Amino acid sequence: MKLSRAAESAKIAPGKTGNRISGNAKIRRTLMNIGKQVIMVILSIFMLLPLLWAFLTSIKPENLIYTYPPVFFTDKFTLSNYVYAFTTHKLPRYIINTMIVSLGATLLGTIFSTLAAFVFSRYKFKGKGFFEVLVICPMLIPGITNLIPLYSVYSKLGLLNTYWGLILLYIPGTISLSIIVMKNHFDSIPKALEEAAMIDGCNRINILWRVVIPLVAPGILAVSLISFVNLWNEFIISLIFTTKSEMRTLTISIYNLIGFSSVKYGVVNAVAFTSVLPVLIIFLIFRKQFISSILEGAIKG
Amino acid sequence: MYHKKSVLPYILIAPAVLILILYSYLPLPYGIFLSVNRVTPGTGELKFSGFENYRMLFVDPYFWESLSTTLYYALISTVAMVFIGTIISLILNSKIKGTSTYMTIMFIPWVISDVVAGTTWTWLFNPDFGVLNYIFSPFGIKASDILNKPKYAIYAVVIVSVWKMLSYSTLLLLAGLQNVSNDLIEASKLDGCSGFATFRYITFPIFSPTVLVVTLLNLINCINQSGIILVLTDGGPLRSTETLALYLYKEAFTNFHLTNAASLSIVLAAMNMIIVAIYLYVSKKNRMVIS
Repeated sequence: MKLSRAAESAKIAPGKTGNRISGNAKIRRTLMNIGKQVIMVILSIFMLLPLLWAFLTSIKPENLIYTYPPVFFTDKFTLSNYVYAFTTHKLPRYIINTMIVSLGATLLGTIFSTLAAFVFSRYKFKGKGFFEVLVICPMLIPGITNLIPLYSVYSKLGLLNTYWGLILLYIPGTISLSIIVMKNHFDSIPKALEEAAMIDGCNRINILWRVVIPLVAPGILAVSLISFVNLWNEFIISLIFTTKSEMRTLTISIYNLIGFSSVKYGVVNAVAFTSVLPVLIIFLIFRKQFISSILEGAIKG
Repeated sequence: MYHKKSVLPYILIAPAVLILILYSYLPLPYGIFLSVNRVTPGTGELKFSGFENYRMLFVDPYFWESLSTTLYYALISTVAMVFIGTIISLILNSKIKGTSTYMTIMFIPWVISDVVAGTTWTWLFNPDFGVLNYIFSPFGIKASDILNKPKYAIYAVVIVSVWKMLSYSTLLLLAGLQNVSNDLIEASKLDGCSGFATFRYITFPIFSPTVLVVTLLNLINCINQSGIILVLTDGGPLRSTETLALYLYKEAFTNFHLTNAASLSIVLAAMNMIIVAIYLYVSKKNRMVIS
């Protein structure tokens, strides 16, 4: 209801203020702004409250978790769920697994896509258009349809439950976006700089390494952070391609915790919060780069 | 600037191109190959069977059920995301205070994993201790029924999907709105257009291609959504939330009917490609309009 009123006044206000700025219009505009703020605050609560509740659950002792009506705040906060997660649930092992595969795939993916984006931005060569379409198209077809043939091949080659197998599976999901974003960054650098370096006798690899790469460093940072966050959160691929418990990643370890009939929600939320913390910190620090890169990828793709 | 004949560009793009060919392109023909074969019981060898898998798929009532669930879920979530996203982006575009803070807050669900989204909401919807039951009890609503009754469960999935992905649609729609130059709006006001007329004749025509693109992107995302559903409902209760992507996952990796699942994946891939084709057509036209 508030919404429609705000929208209505949004339509009326500018026309009237064009003629004369009356007190009435001013009040209307103020009301409209308050209406908009109210909507946005409600939306923000909807976005944040579930996570806040999950966090509160993770630091409550079991007898305060299973109560109705729910207890919101208490002076008996405890870390026992985290202790359980890190010892009995073997969380460190899952964190290390997730680190290895997501960092490995991010590193390789970023190198591959930076090289490819540099070529697409600077070279003219036969088949360029074809290769550009070839590297960007996979972004539009999400992976689940590919996983069955890949699983069949992986089980034959014995690549299930290996770090390398998972890293290679992870790279294709990230590089299309990275190439688009990196190409934009390369395109924004004036070519005169490279020409000058070339006249000074730099060879091409040196130009790339010493002149161009430092200039696109912010872009490299943005794409590697986005890849890392996506892969840290990845679920379906690692669910399918890891079957041994010592090879599982964080997301799978959470999923396995809710598979039992008696779910320990304190522990589930403790593990969940532990897994969210790094990506949340990265996102909050680099939110501008994040949001602008997502936008670039969606528009150019 | 470098247009001498050289193999260097090919060497530099080779890693990216090779890995995409291996992992994104070759699986498709291999999937088609698997889908026209059947596993011989006992030996586990593949035997050519023509379109037998597809025939079985099309007489499988579960397939049609999942297909309609998929379309229903994709449609409802997409409409919800585009509608709410449009309203939010209009609000944010009117230069209110705190726009970037709101955007950051909205993106927080987007950066957390599907699994954590699933467990968080499962806990909120818990029938015995769930905080949602508590919040909605004064209204006489048992919130956990949304998740636990077959009739409503799909809406619980929609709510969680919107919660998780709304920011993405909003961001794209906001970018679309910012395409509309202020000069045009100022000019229309000088010509005596009312606020509504400005929206109807200036903003909307420039904005609508973005709406279409966001709609198609959301459809693609929803059709392939499996993580949230797997954690939140596992397809239940009574298969009421089992979409094609989830049915595919279960056929392949719970029941190990690999060749059946392969034919299913080809059908899903075909659905994707149709939407992608429309998307490419629309975004090409869109670009021509802008430039």
